[in-house]
Parts: sequence; C-alpha cells; structure tokens
Amino acid sequence: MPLTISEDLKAQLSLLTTQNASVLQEFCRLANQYYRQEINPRIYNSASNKLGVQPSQVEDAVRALVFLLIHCTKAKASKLEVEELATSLNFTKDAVMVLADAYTNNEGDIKEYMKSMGVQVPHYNNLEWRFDILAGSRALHHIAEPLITLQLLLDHSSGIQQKNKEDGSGGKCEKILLQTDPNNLVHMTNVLEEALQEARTHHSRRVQQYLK
Amino acid sequence: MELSPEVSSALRLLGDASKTDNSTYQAVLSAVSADIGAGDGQEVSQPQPPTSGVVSYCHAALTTLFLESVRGGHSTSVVTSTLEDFMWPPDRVNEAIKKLDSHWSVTQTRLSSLGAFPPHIVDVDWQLKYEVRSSGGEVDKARGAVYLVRLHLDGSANSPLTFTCSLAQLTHMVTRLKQATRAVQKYANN
Repeated sequence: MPLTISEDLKAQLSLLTTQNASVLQEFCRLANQYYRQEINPRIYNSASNKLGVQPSQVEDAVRALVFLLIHCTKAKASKLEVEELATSLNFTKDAVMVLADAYTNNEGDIKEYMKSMGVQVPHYNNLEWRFDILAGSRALHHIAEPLITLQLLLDHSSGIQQKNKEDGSGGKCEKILLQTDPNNLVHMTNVLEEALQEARTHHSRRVQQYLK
Repeated sequence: MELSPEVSSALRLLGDASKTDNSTYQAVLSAVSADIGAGDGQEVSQPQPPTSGVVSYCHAALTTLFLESVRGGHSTSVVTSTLEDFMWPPDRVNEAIKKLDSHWSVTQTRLSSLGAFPPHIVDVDWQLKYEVRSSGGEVDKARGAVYLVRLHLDGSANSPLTFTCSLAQLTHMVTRLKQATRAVQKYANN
C-alpha cells in the first residue's frame, strides 16, 4: 500500500525539499535530538539565521520531519517505500538517501519515543527492606513494636530517557518510603505469591499462546 | 512522674474533699473516662456552669495525669504514690486507679498511632495483563505478562500506590518480601 501524507504535512516539509542533502542531514540530526527531548530553542534561531527563514518555520520543519518518520514507522514502511514517498515529495536524490538512512538507522529510537507517548504507569525497579523494633516515641515510651520499613524504587520515564542519563541513574526514579507490620507483610507476600501462580496456570498460558 | 505546677495544684484541689465535693469529683472522673475511652471523631464532654471554670481545670489535670501515666509506662503504684502526695483520700485514689486501669490499653493504642510514620501498607491488589496493541505502535511481544500492583496505604495522600512490573520483577519483589518475613519469624521464635 503506498504511503500517503496530508497536505498540511507536505506544506510544512516544503522548507526542507528545497535544501541540499547536508542541510537535510542536519535536520535529521535535530529530529533525533527531538526524540531525546534535548533540543535547545537557540538551535532553531541559529538554523533560521543560516537559512534566512523564521525560527518558527525551522521548528515546524523539524516537527514535520519527526511526524513523517513516526508515520512511516507506524505503517511499518520498508526503506524502498520511504524512498518512494520522499521522491514524490520532490526531495533531491541525495536528500532521499539521507531521509531513508535516517529512517532505518534510528528505527529503535523512534519506537522508544512512540512508546513514551503511550500510556505510562510507574514501573517497578527495586525493593529494599529493613526490620526495625520501635522502642519508643515522644507519644509513647517503653514499647517494643516490630515494624518493617520498605523502600520501593519506581521508574517514571520511558526507555529512551533512561539510556541518556550519563550517571546511569535511569531517568526519573522515585524512591518511596513505606512501612508495614508483620501481619500485613505476611498477607502481602501471600497475595503476591498467588499473583505469580496465576501466570503459571493453564488459562494464562492459553492467553499467551493465542496472542503469539 | 513529672507534672507541671498548674496540673499539680489542680490535682490537689480535686483530691481535697473539703474543697471539691464528691459529686463534682465523680462528674470529673466520669467525664475524663468517657473522653479517654471515646473513639476518634466523638465529641469530648463540656462542663456545665456555674462551676465550669474549676471543673475544666480539674478535668484537664486529671486527663494529663492519666495520659502521662500511660505515656511513661508508669505502674499503678507510682500513680498511687503521686496521688497520695497530693493528699488524695484512699477511696478517691482507688476509684481513679480503677478507671485508669480499665482504659490503659485503649489509651496506649491511641498514643502509639501518634507520631510521624511513613505510609503504612494495609492491603495489596494485583492484575495480570497481556498487552496486545497500543496507540504508540506495536507492543513488544517479548514483554509478555505485565502485572499491575496496587498498594493500599494508611496515612498517605498517594493511596493507592499503583505500579507495573514484569513476571521476573514480581518474582524479585516476592523473594525480597519472603526474606523479610523469614527475618521477622526468626526473631519472633527466639
């Protein structure tokens, strides 16, 4: 099925179709940075000065390029189909190659970015525990209350943002301090063990097989 | 047991039969018992005029005595000797000690819940899902089963706390919880 794009998108890409391959290469690099949320607005200003256009046009062109690549990824287009689409948009031959390369080389990044746009729920990272005996407090002296303190680590960001953190901290990681007593600890452990058992049942395996 | 001068003088007044008649003493004692034994959200008693000023003063002092006894974990003999120091007659001392004893564990429970604690886990729910498609494109089939775990917390605005995890991660979490359970059981059995 041939890839098609809307007239609006064609209009926004028109800035790029008149540029040579090296300029398009720069735009592809900017699009890459866009996935990683690393774009500095000053880049748009410097690019607009070099090309003699408004910064907003540059920003629109980058967004249009990102949208184009996402659209191709969603449609699972082959390299050839992307080349055909680029040619139909009046890109030069060299520009077509640059675009097709950008599509194939950054497929992983585009997919991660698309995932980050989807439904996001905090994801489990780690659980540390500590068993304490509370000997007293301001409100009550001389007690011996067993308490279990738990530190739950949850990830809030998607994979692509985690990869880019230089210190390896793994993106937005939330540390949550919780507490429980021995009875609730045993109850919680039993309930979650039941949850693990459910994945091993015949029914769950059938659902998994059906989806393969 | 350390009590402030105001509380001490009010207790002296309450115990003095010549200054506080028996009916007033009984009213104060029953009001204090009712307030200490009352659940959360129940209204505390209000003294009636014309003796409301003195009665409030004694009510506050007796309540303070009861709470400090439980808070400090003082035995009844310590409380008895404190009241005897304030010249309380034996019958009033005995009645007060009886009321204190009957409300001891309730008061202790309520005092133990005061203080700064992290949110307390009281329950947990889970769901097992297999992701098929999403608006963000095809779901990575290798992810397989995804668990949605919900922790119900007491004393937190974030309750319930929800997060997802894979089968391997839930196994890791359950292993950690079992380690904690074993540690607690080991000390419980000693």
